[in-house]
Amino acid sequence: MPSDCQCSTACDVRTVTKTVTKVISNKEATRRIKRLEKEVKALKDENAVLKRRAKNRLVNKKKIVSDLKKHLDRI
Amino acid sequence: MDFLSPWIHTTERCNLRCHYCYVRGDAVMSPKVYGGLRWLLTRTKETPIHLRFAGGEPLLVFDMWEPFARWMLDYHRDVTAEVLTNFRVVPESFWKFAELPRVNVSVSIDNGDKVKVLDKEIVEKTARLKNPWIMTTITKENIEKLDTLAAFIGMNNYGWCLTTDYFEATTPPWEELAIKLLEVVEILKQFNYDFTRISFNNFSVKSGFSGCRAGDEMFTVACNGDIYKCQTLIGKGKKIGDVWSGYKRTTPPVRKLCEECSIYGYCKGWCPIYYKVPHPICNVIKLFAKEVITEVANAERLPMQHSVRC
Repeated sequence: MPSDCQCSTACDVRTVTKTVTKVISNKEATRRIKRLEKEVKALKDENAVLKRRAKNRLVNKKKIVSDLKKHLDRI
Repeated sequence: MDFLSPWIHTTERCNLRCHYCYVRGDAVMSPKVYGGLRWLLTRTKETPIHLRFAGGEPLLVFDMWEPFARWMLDYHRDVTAEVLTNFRVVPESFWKFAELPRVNVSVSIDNGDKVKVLDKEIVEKTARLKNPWIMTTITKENIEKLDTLAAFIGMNNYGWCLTTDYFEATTPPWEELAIKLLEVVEILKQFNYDFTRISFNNFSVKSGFSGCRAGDEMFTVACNGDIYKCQTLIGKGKKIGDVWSGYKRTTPPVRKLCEECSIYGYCKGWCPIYYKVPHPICNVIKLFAKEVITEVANAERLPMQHSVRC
């Protein structure tokens, strides 16, 4: 069965652990999200294929569903 | 302490032989070990207790652990059980157990060519479960077919735990992985997927998502009753105790680089034992995180400006 690490999903464990003890303020959370956006943009800019694929991510739902059905019929 | 969660290595036996699996051997956990574990868990005052029945393939030895599981579920209302299975061989008696209110079943589906394929049999069996989670290990073998699996997940709004393998022997290059995961997000969007139900290498916006706590709240019980920090260390790493005398706990360290990261609080740093930061996979997690956080924020489940507590 491994290596599906289900260590962390812990579906019904409600409480949050002490991995990180401090609470990040709203301001800090917003600042980090903005930084993340910049980092992601930089990653895409550095990587032409990633950038191209990120731009052209149009998905045809009907086709995906029909592909899934075909896939299941085949097996 | 907030909870306890033993990974119970019910057996080393498995009906599959996945190329990335590290489990070898033929051992089966004996009733004596379950007795010891019961003693260990009932003398602690900490709850909730989240039991994880794993292996090998736990359903091959369901009759061995079912009495222990039922006893523990009756013992306290804050005990929950999770079964981590490839779900290929299902004993008839398991279906009743799976219906119990505090039991969850996590099904391994990779949709590889040979490994844990997505076929009609698994689709039908999974549909019989209440709120199943799907676990997928992304490897070079199945990455191309991940979009088909994404459609299946999206259609059913199943919880989805995506990981790369611990030892990185089969992990695709990070760029390839990132492109595929971005495609997966696009597919899931088509089905109005609830993105609080997805995780990738211990990144999740799900409330209460703990990250790996190996050696502390989380520990592994080997078939012979020895306790290890993690299931990958059985027979290799140093044992930290056994079910008859308890175990020595250590808190996984918070890595400085993780603390400074832009997704600190959402990402729990993947595997504390094998994953070293900085790592190219961090790029993938960030690209994925940006999409997921945006989706969840758009769905008003998680305002962009909020307190991140973890």
